[in-house]
Amino acid sequence: MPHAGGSPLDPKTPDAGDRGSALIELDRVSRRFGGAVAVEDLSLTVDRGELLVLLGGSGSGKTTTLRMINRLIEPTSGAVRLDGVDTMTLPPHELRRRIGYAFQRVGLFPHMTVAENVGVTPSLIGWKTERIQRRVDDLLALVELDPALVRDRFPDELSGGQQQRVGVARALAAEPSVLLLDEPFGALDPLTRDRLQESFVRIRRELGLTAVFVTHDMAEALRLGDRIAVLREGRLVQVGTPAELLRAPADDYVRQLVETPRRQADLVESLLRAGAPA
Amino acid sequence: MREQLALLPDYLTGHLQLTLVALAIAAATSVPLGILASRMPRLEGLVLGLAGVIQTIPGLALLAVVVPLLAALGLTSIGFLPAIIGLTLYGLLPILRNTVAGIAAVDPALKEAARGVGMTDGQQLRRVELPLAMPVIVAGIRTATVWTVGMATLSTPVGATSLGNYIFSGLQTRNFAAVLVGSAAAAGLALVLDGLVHALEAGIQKRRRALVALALAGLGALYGYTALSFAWAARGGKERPIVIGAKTFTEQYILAEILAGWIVEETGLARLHRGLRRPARRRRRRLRRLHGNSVDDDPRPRHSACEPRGGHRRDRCVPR
Repeated sequence: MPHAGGSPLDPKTPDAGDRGSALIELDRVSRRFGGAVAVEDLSLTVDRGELLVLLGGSGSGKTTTLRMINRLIEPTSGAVRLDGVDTMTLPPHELRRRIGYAFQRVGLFPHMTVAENVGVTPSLIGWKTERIQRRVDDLLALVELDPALVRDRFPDELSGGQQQRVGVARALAAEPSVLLLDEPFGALDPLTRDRLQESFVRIRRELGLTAVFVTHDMAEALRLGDRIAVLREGRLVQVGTPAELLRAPADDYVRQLVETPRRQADLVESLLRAGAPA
Repeated sequence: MREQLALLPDYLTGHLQLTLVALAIAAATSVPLGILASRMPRLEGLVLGLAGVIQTIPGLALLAVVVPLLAALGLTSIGFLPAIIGLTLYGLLPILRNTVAGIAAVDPALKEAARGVGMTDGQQLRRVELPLAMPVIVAGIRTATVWTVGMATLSTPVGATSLGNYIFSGLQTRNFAAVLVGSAAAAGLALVLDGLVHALEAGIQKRRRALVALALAGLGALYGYTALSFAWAARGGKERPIVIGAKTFTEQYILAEILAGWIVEETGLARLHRGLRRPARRRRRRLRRLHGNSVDDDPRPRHSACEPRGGHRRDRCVPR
């Protein structure tokens, strides 16, 4: 597990105790919408510098879980701690300024330029203009966009892949301690998605980011995740490294899930063999 | 025609005053009210419903009904005030409705993003929702503008000077030149104002700062002129104008004009104010209660000043 930044034994986190480097803790968290249970009694930790994937089908509660970390949804019961501090004790907007957030629908503000979009959280915090400009250019370069070319464009002048890159840059802008990503590459074509995943792996390695990444795509989870938490009907089924999941799936659901990439690969292989000259 | 055109500056200024003041008040009330309503679903139904009810009242009836309401409150019930109130009420709905609709139409993904990047509710409103709703809000102001210019022509019967003066007196005296001048001027004014607000709307939508600036400069100039016209009126009108009441039929107009001409000749004053009520003997007390001393004389022919008392014995009428 990579440890990037922060002492392993943070004095502010007595709860973390033996785990030491846990940055995010979900402690017996539940969320109900009316009578329906979205998340039930879920406990998870994310260590510093770790990328945890929340994996599951639709209705599994993975997005609800993610959004409870930055309080876009508030838990019905249980506690979420960031760096040992109960998130309910912070004003929500201040909490969210410390947590980068990127999601599938991107949500770039159409009336703002790319630079204004990326620099929005720093400007809310009150950074100086020059510092924001420098940060914006650095981040655009980091997500492999030419700052000079895109800085003053409006979001609707960019392709879907470029917009998502800007979305990731915006999430990173205020040097957040945590990055939350909700299927950020879900709406992109396979080639673009592949390139963005590749960029993201590199960015994360460079910055040593702590992140929680929601997806329903097993291949994406295996590629990006340090650990994978499998959710089903609001409950945590299994959490472990990709290798652990592949080696010892907790039940049939997890087994089927981890086997999908292999089945797809087998299918491609058999098609190749059938099409090859005898 | 020439004498009709000579009246144009006065009537046009009056019309501009009514339109622009009513629009400014309507916009200054409905935009904040619309924002509030978009935050509170319960208020939204109430406010939109109420504005909708006001809208169903025919324009002339709305203006007319303000007169007795103001009188009941003991306020000046003819002239500028009732017209402004009626016009403002009429301008509320389109702006209110578009403010609510514009904010509601903001993509939920953008609201989520606004919260996600750490905006407070106020910042979300100022930085995201209002800028995105602005073209829709301005479109509402544009609708209100055209309606208000049109309805301001109906404010003549409640005693406010407008281009409607041409139309009402022209129809009454079969002076079609006057009707034509009034109608054309009102239509022209509507086109100009609509064009300016349209330019503003398009400029905001297409992010063209120059167009926005141009439209704002045009509107600003008109507002500046209106403010100046008020200032002139305030400076020149320290003394209360002499008001001559007249009923809305031809002889009354002629008599009022003769009387006015006579006063102007004798005193050098030249202020005319067209009233709507006749201070008949029996009604004079009631009128005084209505308007205070806002009507000084009534040039009705003497014979009709008689009020039958206790029956129809005209011979017992006392000429004034």
